[in-house]
Amino acid sequence: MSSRYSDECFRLRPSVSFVPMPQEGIYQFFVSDIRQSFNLVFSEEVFVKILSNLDGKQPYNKLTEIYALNDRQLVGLERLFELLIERCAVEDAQVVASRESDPFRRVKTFIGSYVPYYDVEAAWQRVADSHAVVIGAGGVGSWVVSLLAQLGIKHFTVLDDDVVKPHNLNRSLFSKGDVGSLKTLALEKMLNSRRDEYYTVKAVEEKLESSERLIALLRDDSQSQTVLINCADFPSVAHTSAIINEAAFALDLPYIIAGGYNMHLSLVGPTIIPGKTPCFHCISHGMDQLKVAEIEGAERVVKEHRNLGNLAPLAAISASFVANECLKLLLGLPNLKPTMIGKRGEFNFFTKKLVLEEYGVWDECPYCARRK
Amino acid sequence: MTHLSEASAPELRDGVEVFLYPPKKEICSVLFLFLSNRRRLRIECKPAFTLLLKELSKSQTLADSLERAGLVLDDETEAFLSFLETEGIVTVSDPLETDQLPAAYMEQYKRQVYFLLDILKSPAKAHEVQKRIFDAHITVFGLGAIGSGILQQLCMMGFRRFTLIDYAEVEESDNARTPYRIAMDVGMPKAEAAKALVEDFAFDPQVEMHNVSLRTDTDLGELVQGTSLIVNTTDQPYVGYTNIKLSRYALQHNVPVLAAGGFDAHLASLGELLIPHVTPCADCYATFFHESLKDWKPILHPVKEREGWFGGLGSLSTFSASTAALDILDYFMNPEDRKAAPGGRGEFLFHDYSLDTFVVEKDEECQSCGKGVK
Repeated sequence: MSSRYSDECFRLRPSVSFVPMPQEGIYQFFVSDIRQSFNLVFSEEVFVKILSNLDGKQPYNKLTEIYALNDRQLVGLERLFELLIERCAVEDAQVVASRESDPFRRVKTFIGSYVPYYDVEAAWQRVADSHAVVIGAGGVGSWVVSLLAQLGIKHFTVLDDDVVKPHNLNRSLFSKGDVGSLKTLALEKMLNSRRDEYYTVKAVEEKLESSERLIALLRDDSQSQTVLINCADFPSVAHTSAIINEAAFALDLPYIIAGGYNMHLSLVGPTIIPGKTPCFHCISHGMDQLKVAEIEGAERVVKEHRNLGNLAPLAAISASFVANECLKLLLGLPNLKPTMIGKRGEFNFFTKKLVLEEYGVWDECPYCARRK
Repeated sequence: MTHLSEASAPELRDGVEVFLYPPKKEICSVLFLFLSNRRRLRIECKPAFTLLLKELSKSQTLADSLERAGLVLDDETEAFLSFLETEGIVTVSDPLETDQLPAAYMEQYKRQVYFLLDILKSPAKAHEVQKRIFDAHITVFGLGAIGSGILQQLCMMGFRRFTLIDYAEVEESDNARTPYRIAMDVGMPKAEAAKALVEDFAFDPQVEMHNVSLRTDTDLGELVQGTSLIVNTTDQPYVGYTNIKLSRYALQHNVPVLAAGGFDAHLASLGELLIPHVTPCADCYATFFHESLKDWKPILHPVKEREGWFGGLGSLSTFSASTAALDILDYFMNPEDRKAAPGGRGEFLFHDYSLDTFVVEKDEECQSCGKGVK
């Protein structure tokens, strides 16, 4: 009897636990690196034996012999393997062996918990070939660049006109030796020290001032998947987000509003895909509706020049959410959509919980309503 | 509150926003919003005090602020000002002025001191915490993704005296999760690469390093003598064992241990801060998980060499390291006089950003920290 599998040396993925449940015939597969599990029911004892010994050393076609399987069992086993491969519990040891000394092995293995083993390289390559446009290279932006580089993303454009100062070192990812150099150049140096000749960094020594300028900078970039990330809060996040929103709609590019800004240390911002999700204006409108209730009619008293507090772990946490969102966005998988679509979160640094608020498309949004 | 004379110049603090609501029957509502932690405080007061709050947003003497608000420094006004100072809404002196810490250090960490002020309310307390951080000696076991990630953030928060312990060398595949200052030194002992990181990131660094592994027979006395807090991230041979070894030592010597998360099946878990005789100890945790997982029995994994074959992302290790750094900061804000508290574990989930949490109580029968143990 022929099977769709022959030479594949399947193994239970090292991060997957195979667990017999108290009810007979039910087995749990716990994909531990993403902490997700699923249960399967099967009555063939021999399948339990096969899975318990599935170490990637025997080709599939030898299993028939070793376990003396009959035709009915062969059909069942093939169906079981189809399912386990699709659910990322089983992989071909020969295919993943090439990852042994791969600098991005951990990332690929992680992606392998959402994508069947044979598609992992292609899925990671989509991410690696992408282009991240990071606007603002300060407290959050510096961490974002570093975390995206760790995913394997190769192409960066970084916009910032500032130089590193001693008081940036308490949360931006710069070292003492970077003080005095442009933030964009310090980040370029950091990426090159990670992996020589792997990354391309376009350092733009400018403050984001207009959508036209941003569009002009990105117009020629047509080959790669591009994502814009707002890590700039001067003069305000609302100001920079409005500019980025304009450019994102013009170029049809997704963007992420990072959060972790001076006045919003614990904010986790939304992920926006023009025309498909609520945009910055939809969300601001929704927020205004909520805010009005609290401070309606009140007079706001603040000092003119303020030194606000911040903290390294909070900047790093904000950036970690951006990198997670970016990975979800760039992978484009139906089973792993960006979480922050139409959402805005507040990270509570005492309980470590993220509280999410949801927003829909605003009926009168000048960008989204038009598209409808 | 003794120093409020009319010549002093109390000012609204930078990290607070004030919202004044229109008066109703000669009573005004005021909302104070503390920016760092989004704390909200509401009060009601007479209209003249709202005028005073506006005047306090300017750089001027108290005498001028009072005059413009039509007030005099009577008992009621003094009580109101005293309330504002106690709550950290106004500061009387420059919040960065202290002779306890070097000026260059204060300049580098001023944004953090402002952050501490939002929570601690008084400049003196914020300085005290920062000074404790300046003097603290932290020992870090394991300098992989989480250990070095925590180390980097500790340097960024102003810690500067470290003992670093690891036996391994930096590998190519560390790139995806460890700080770049370590990832760039492939082939170098991790402890050495981590020392270079501290030298690049910390203020006036003092580092001792040991290129050794933590084993059951390791003499901890030599390694951790005089340490203020131990960070454990070694997951070889198994993180449960290394935590127990360190936790038992820590109980005897009254040193807190941060048992970090972030490994294999716990890629973005929160760490557990083990404070002797206050929180559960590592043995209590082991008993708890042994009990709660007693019916969950995975079949022995067929793949024998699984190390390094779990997935991982820099963002998840960074999340884990950051939450550990927050716990350490929280400890240094108030190291003494802590009330007994249950512990717990949190598993942050990548797919929906929820946090799976378990509460872990102290085990009264614990052989290391329970009732029967002296």
